[in-house]
Amino acid sequence: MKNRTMNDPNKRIDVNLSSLLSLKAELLRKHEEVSKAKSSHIVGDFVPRKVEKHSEKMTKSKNTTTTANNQSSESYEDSEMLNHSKKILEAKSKFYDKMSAMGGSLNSDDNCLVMFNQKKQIGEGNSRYESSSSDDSETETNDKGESGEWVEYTDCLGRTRKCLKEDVEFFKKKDGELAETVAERNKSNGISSEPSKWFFDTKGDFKLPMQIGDSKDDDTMSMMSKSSKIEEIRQNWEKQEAENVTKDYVHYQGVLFDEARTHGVGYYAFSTDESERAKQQKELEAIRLKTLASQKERENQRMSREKIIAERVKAAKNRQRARLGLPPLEDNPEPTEQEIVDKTAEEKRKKKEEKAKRKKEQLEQLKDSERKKHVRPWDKDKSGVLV
Amino acid sequence: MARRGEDLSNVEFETSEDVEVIPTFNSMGLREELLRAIYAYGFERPSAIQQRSILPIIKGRDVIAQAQSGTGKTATFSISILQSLDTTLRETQVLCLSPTRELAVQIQKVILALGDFMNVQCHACIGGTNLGEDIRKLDYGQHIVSGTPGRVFDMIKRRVLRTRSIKMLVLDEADEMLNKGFKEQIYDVYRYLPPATQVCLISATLPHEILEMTSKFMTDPIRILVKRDELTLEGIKQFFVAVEREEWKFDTLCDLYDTLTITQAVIFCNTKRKVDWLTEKMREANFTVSSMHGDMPQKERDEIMKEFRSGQSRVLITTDVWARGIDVQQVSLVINYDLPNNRELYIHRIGRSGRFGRKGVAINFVKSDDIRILRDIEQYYSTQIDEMPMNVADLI
Repeated sequence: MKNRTMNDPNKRIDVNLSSLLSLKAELLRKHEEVSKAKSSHIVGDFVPRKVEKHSEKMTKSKNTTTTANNQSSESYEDSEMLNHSKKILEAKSKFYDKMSAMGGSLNSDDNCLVMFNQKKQIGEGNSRYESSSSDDSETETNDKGESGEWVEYTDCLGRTRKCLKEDVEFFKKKDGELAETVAERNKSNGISSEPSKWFFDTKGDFKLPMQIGDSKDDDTMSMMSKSSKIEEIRQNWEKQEAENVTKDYVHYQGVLFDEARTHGVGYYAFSTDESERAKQQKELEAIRLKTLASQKERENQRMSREKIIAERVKAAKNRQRARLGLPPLEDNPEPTEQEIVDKTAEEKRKKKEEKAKRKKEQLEQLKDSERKKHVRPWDKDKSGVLV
Repeated sequence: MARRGEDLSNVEFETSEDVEVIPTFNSMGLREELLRAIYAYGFERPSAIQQRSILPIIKGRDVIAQAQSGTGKTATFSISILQSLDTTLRETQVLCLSPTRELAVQIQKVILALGDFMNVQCHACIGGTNLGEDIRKLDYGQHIVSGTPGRVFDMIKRRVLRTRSIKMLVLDEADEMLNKGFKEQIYDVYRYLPPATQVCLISATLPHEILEMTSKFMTDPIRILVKRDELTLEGIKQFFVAVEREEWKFDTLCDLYDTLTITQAVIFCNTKRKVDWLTEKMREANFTVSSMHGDMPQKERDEIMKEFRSGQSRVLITTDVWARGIDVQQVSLVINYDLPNNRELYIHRIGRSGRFGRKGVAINFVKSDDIRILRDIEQYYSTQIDEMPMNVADLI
């Protein structure tokens, strides 16, 4: 069935398929690199860059004998780095929450560039992953190629991860948080925790979710999210309408109702709350006055600069004249004959214009009084009408 | 000045002499907060009608202003109204009447937008809404009332809408307001206004017979008129699709659906029944459309308008209730599923697209006997209506 719905994010179908394909190729290439890197015992999978450095350090320190002091300073560095990565992860998690709260399914969402599910699917094909993708529990296994300090675990999304044994608790906690947000997202999207059916088929024919005609799930889901979105917007409108009825003052923002209208650059959407609106207007006015003042200031500065330059030029000219034995230039040079002629012509013209203007005004006054005397047929017999 | 009893049927109405042209908003001497709102709303330079009409209205003259559709007529009188308003006086000073409720609401919106920095109060007084709420709002005091004649007259009679401070009456879509259906109601309202109230008539179409009757309620008006061969806009391309039988129109519409949804489109039918029928049929064929006509409850009409204005819906099937004045920036395509019943309506309908300098396309579905009517329209406005090309989507 051809998708006829309007405003569907899925409408984007015809956006460059080739770029998507090259993205996919890039992704596969990276995966290959990663698996190569893994088999050569260099940990560089998902750990943040700083941690990666640290792991290199660790490998080095394994080869050399290290003192206990050294280790303790490193563990201090560890915690610092972990704090840093924790912050980053928390920011990411917040963003994840935001995205999941947005309602649309992640993989068909306009803002989503990462195909989480695709990642997962590729993961499934990898024999190194021991637990299934739907498995929410963590399984820890000792990495055969590494020393006992490194452990491999599978997170709630089925991704295989490596970390230091002492960090396991931390990552476990993080993973728990992630699992919660995933569950939340699934719940808000109305899907179960079962693996989604609407990701890309990376092995077979490449289709965008919206192109999968027989995948009813996707259709119904986007329809559902769309209709719930419209319902939400409608409820907001109704709420606004109800507010308008009780309000004494109704302003533009109160009657705009999400109209898709392009305004000018100076447009300011004031708050619908009366006191907040007054505050905003006051602030805007203050900013405006400040702008005007600074404009005036700049203009004054420019004027005084120009005046100084003009004086300097005049002084230079006078010096030159003095060298030639000429008297200095006068401040107000006497007008030339031509200028006198021009001036009188100008005065004449002005007088003429003024006369014409006066005449016009008189005529207009006359007409105006005539208009005032006129009684329109529809005004007849109205009380108070001058007959 | 036209006096009573004068026969005006042979007089040719022309634009008044020495109408001043003011090239910028800045040089119009407007209040600072109004000027700021004009720029904030998105206007940069005044359009031809704005350059000519704003000042005479502000000066208090009666004005008949005609201009092509979507060239800023509503803003013209809104700016003038706001300039002449005394915001410290909480009484109705301006009454603006429109033929449809949606248009009255839209005018309220424009006035509120342009008067946002002035904190102006403008109430939409329209039928189909709660009387009690209307009464309360008017009782509180509104600077401007934008409404439809029926409800406004009701409010005046109830003495809820006090007319003693009204200085100006604006008739938007004036030719429609002075047509048979509305003229009586306009007269009724007019009789309650203070004598010699300033009157402004605004429309894209002002037939001779309308201009003739203006002497009854206007005093030496300034006319800014447009000759009918200049009434169609270059930016709106007009086409026709010839169909042999009525049934083929539906198939043509289905074929065009993808083009309709490029931006937003309005499809006009001549009757409410046909709107219902076509909507039903389109939905049966799995096309998403919305529809609106005068027999729907006001609440539903409101909702459909909001959905269309916000872009939630993109294709609207409607009657001539939508033909005049409604401004939705994104509409770039109008389809006359049925040809309109008169020449004026043709101008108004196609004018729903191509708003304020934007591109627009109008497509007329014509049966063989309609082609004659279309040719007549083409000749009357000295315009060109070609057969629809294959690449019509490129023109939107």
